[in-house]
Order: sequence, then structure tokens, then C-alpha cells
Amino acid sequence: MRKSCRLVVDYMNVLMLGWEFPPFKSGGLGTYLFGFTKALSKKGTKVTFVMPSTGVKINPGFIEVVQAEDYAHLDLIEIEGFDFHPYSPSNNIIYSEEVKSDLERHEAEKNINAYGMDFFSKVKSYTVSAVKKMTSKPCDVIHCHDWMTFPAGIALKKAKNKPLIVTIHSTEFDRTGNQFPNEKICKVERNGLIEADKVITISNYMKNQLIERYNIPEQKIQVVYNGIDKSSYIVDNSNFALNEKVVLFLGRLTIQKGPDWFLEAAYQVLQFKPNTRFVIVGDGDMLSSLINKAIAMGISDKISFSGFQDNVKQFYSIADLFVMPSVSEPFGLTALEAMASKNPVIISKQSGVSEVINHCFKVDFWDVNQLTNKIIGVLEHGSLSHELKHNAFTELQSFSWGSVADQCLEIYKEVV
Amino acid sequence: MPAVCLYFHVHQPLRLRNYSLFDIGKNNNYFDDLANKFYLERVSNKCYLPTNKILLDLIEKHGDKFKFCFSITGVFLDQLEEHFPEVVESFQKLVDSGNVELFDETYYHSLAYLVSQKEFVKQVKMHSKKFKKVFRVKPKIFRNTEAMYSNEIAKAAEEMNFKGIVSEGLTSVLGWRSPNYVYKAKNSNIKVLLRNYKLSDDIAFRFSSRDWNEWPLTADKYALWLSQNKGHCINLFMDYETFGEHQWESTGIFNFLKHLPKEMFKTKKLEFATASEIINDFPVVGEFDVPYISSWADVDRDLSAWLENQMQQQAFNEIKSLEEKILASRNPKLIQDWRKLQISDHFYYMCTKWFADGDVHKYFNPYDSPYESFLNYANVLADLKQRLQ
Repeated sequence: MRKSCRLVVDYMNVLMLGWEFPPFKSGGLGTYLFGFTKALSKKGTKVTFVMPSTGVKINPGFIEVVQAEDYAHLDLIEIEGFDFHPYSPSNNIIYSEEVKSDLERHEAEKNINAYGMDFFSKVKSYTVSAVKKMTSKPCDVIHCHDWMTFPAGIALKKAKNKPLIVTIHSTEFDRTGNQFPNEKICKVERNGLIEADKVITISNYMKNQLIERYNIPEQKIQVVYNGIDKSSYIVDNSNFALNEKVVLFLGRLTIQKGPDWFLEAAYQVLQFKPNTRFVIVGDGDMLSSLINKAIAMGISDKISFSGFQDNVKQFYSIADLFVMPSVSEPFGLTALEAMASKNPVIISKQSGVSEVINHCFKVDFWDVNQLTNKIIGVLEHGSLSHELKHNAFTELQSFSWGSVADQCLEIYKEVV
Repeated sequence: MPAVCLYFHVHQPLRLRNYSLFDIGKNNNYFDDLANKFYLERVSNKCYLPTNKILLDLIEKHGDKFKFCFSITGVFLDQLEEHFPEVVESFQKLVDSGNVELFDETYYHSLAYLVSQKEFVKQVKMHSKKFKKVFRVKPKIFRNTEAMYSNEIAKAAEEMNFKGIVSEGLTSVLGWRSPNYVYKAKNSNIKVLLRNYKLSDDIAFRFSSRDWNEWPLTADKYALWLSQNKGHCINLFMDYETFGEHQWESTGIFNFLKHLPKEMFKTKKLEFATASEIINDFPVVGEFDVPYISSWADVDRDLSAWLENQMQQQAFNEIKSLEEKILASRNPKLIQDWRKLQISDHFYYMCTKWFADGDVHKYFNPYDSPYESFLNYANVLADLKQRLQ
């Protein structure tokens, strides 16, 4: 009898509710869920992953393509009828061959976005389908990631009488840069936080937000920092032959990520070092204003808008410096990815990752002069760049998905 | 009856102001006067004034039986004279008692020995001159920055007419031998005073550590340890800021110091001596051979706290390479700025060893990271170079 109790605890059965999973696009959250579920299943945990349909059937073929043995315990279950992605408004647009320039592309996007999409009906149908499909599926604990899955999580908790864990990767305040957050979304977030038996956040920065803005008791929240698989980021870039130093921005082009601050700094850097290229990887609602701004500043020939990219490793590999000027960043996984790619890194102080990494520069996102000073410093001084990238790479040792999984398993055991 | 030599090193760095790319060519005021004054005032109140008072009381109480040694950097005296002359007076009072021996060092607490022999000699001479002016004393003992020592440095000190020189009591060099004796340097006749690092660090580092199984360290217990030592001399060398700044008053460090002489005399086996008395009174028992440069810093006892990583090496090599041009400019302000930029602390702040561990390096570091420190320094250097053109 005792033995079987132990077994239940050791081999936890987790119903995981998420919104994105690679390779179906996917920003930081998708990368997180990939690394996290992989590490959980390595430790013998059975994970059933529920996500919206991607339009392409996820079949065992895909799972095998990634790493079959790691996914022996992972079921991917799609909910039909979705083509909507809340973090990346324009990334489902397929461009025709003739629409090539950034400007044309942007115009195309604008037209499609103009149709508008109803967030809440998507969330609602996800909730209905998830509850319908999952109520009879056995599990020990339900684990939700971000607000879109909270209604489903709460309904399943009640239907199955199982504990609910929610992880907050970002709040409405982060996503909107604290400008006109959607009250309805805030409410969904707050409901999830209240109904959850335990809340996981990815930084103290986020934890404090939940205490201050959502009035969640401190004892209920636990911080588990992100992990990274640092072995997979070094790629060959020997074909790359650009005679310029490359400064990289990688993230959604929204207020939250601070691409406009990046552009301001680029302008200043170019006054001192004209032989510099600024590469902006990502898509989002600020694309057209950023392009217009670059043109108005007279630096558009030095800025490469590369759009959304699946293969970000290639971009890290050609960068001489990575900049993450986020206005409000709950964690900032891209900073760890850049470190794993041996890029020197400058991050904003308004980020969760700045709590845990030391071998980098930290600036206030609005301090364009300091950002400029540091960009030029790293590009000018080989010794500085060398020390930053090598020490940062070593520092990454403490960020493994295995450790994230261990910490979450502890939390599961606590609530079961 | 072993003679106990207490020696305190006194120094405060000159911190640079935040100096960005946008200051280059526009601003040649490199130093953060406000912060420097702030720290100076804080350390004066927490350490220099109260500790000087305790030492003066001990001299009055015990007369000739209590004595000790100081070295004080020129760059520190300059700052005191400008902002807190009353602290200079309290040091003068101690020296005037006749119970205090002063050691010479480099004026700028610098790595001048690694810049050039010429620059090294110049900075030591500047320091001697400063001591003559402030304390009317000509030191006979030399202590290089952070106790940096080698056979060559000892020889250079001898050539400047010093009779003794300070070194860490390096286990790697001494082997089975004890630091509690007078040695002579290899290839010269100057005598070497070796720091007993075990007993020195019991006070300087471990005094307030509750993880230490000897905590709390009391004066009578420590006096007993000293009395159980064999040898001729016990050299207790440490930063003066140990008293009240590194070890705060609340740790009991001041009471420890107040009671130490009395407890030592009670054992009837111990006496105090100055460094000059020690090298005059005791025979040389052997040769101290250090072919490479050592120091008293960190566990490594080498130069790695200042010159290990590429940033430190680049910064130091650049400042070093400017020597000829700077001196040829005959511009006193430029030369002085160049020397102030040699202060070893600038390079110490760029140290990446253990940076993430939040250890002793972090406590002394005004920068958020070694990278900030390097970039700030590199920007200042860029301006200095522009001024040369």
C-alpha cells in the first residue's frame, strides 16, 4: 500500500495547458514549454499537453523528429479550430512572392490585421473543447501557462477536483507596456491567480507585480527561473561575410520589448561608428512605425528588418552584440539564448533575467545615452567583449531545464 | 620572548566618476569628488578617528611598551588634507609620540613597479617627500602596493636605501620554515619582514565570522595564541580599515584592540616592537627567494586580482604605454591624472574572479560589475589620449 503511494508521487501525471509549442510558432513561451516538458518527461513525469490547433496536425511523426525518446511520456493534444496567436498578431500571414520589401510587407499586414480578431471567443472555444476532451482524462495536477488557458484550468480543477498550478510568464501590464491594459484580460488573470493552489512566476520582478497589482498573497507565489539548453546554440556562421559589426535585437515589435529604444540607440551609435549594422528580428504592431522612424532618421540602410524567423540561432551566430531593451520583461529568455550563443549581452534593468545574471551590462531601457555608451564600448574593446561572452557562457551552467523541472515537481508534490 | 610587530596599511582610492562616451573630449575632470569625500568621511568616522584615539590612549597608558607601524598612501593624505585636515592631525599626533614607525610605499598605491623602474622610483620618492612634509620622518622600511614582492623588487628597495621590506609569509616559498624570523632577500642584503597570515587574518578576516569555530575572538584568547608561538617576531600586518570599517564597531573589534596589549603583557611572554627594531635586534636566519611577483591578496597571493583578465591587461598596458609621451608633455595636470589612473584599485574593480559570488571584491567595488568598471576606465583613457595630441 505504502509502495503504491510512493509511485504516485514519483511518477506524477500532469495535465498541462498551454498556447504554443514549437515548431508552431512560438516565442519565449513556446521555447519554455518545449524545454520544460522535455525535462519533466526525462524525469519520468507523464505530461499531457493541451494546446490550440496549429492548422497542421501534430502527429507522432513530429514528436519523433524532435527527440522521440524524450517524448515517450508526452501527449500533445490539439484543440481544433484555431489560427490565432495572442502574442504575435501578424505571424500567421503568408506573404506572396512579390511582396518583398519591409514596407510592402507591412502594408499587407495592416490590411489583414484590420479584419480584427476576437480574442475572447477563441479563448472560450479553447476552454470548451479542452474541458470536453480532458474531463475524463486522469491526472494528479493541472498546470496552466498564462491567461488564455486559465478559464479551462479553473473549469477542469472543479470538474476533476484536482489541484491547479498556474505559471505566469507575462501579465497584461507587461504586454501593453503598462499603457491601456485590457481590463477583461486582467480579470481573467486575477481569477486564475485566485483559483490556483500555487502560483509560479519566472522572476521576483513578476512576483512583486502579482503582489502589488493583483493583490495575491506572497506565500502563494514561488519563483522558478527559466532554464536553457546551452549546448544547442553554437552554429556555424562561416558563410557570413559582412564587413560590419552586427548588433542584434530579437523579439516581438511591441512597446513591451522596447524596439524603439533600440532604434534611438542605433541612431546615436551610427554617429560614432558608421560601420555598424543593426539587425531587428521579429514582427509586431510597431513594425511600420519603426521602419518609418528609421527612414526619418536617415539610417534605414543600416537597419535590417528581418521579420519573424524560425531559425534564430543563425542570427545569434552572426551577432557581435545582443541588446534586449525591454520596457517590462518578466524574464527575458532571449538574453540566455544570446549568452548560449556566445554573444556579449546588454539587457534592461526592467527585466527578470537581470536578477539572476551578472556577466552582462544592465541599463535602464530609457537611458539611450548609456545604451549607446555600452554598445560602442563592447564593439570597440575586444577585451571587454571577450570577457563578457566567455564569463556569461560559464554563468549559464546554473540554468538548466532539469532544475526547473525539479523545482516544479517539488511544488506539485506540495499541492497533491 | 617573541616581539609582536603591528603594522597597519592606510589607504582610500580615488573613485572615477561615471564617464561615458559623451564625455570624451569634453570633460577632463575624471574623479568623483562627491563620492570620494563621502566615503572618506564615512571611513574617518567609523575607523580612522576612533581607532587613532584608541591607539593614542594605549600609548599614553603603556608608554614605550606599546608601539606599532603605519604606511599611509600619498593619494590618501592628499584627500584628507583637502577635506578632513583634522584626521591628518590625529595621525600626526600618533607619529609625534615617537612610538610609531612609518613605512614608505608608492605614492599612488599603484602597480608602478610594472610600469617601469623609473616610474616606480619616482613614485616612492614622491611618497618619501610627502612623509617628510607631513610627518617630518624618513622611513627605513618599504612596503610595496599590496605587499607585491619579488627578489627584484627587494633589490630595487635596497637601492633606494631601505633597510627592510614587507612581504607576505608565503608558504609556497617558506616550506617548513616559519615566518616568525628575520630573513634576507635573495640577491641583495635587505631584510624581509614576513606577514604571519594565519594570525593576521584571524583579526582582519575571521574576527566577526560566526561560522568560525573560534568565534568570538577575545583579547585574552588571542594573546594566549600569540604567546604559544615560537620564533623571534610575529608580524601582524593588515589594512587599518579592519578596525571599524571591515569589522564594524558592533563586532567588538574596538574593545578587542583596547584590551589586547594588557592581555599580551599578562602572559609575560610577549612584547611590542617596531619593524626597524626587529631587523636590528634579531639575526637573519635564512634567505627568502621569490623569483616571481607575489602579493598578499586573495588566496592566490599573486597579481591575479589586478592583472588577470583581458580587460585588466588591456587597461594596464595602455596606461603603461603612455609613459614616455605623458612625461614628455611636461604638463603637470596631465602627468598627475596619468598617475592617478595608475591607482591599483581601478584594476581591482575589473576583476572577474568570484565576481558572481558577492565576496570581498564586491564589498569594495563601487561598480555594479567589472565590465562597467572597465568601460568607464577605457572612456577616461580615451580622453587622456586625446589630450596628449
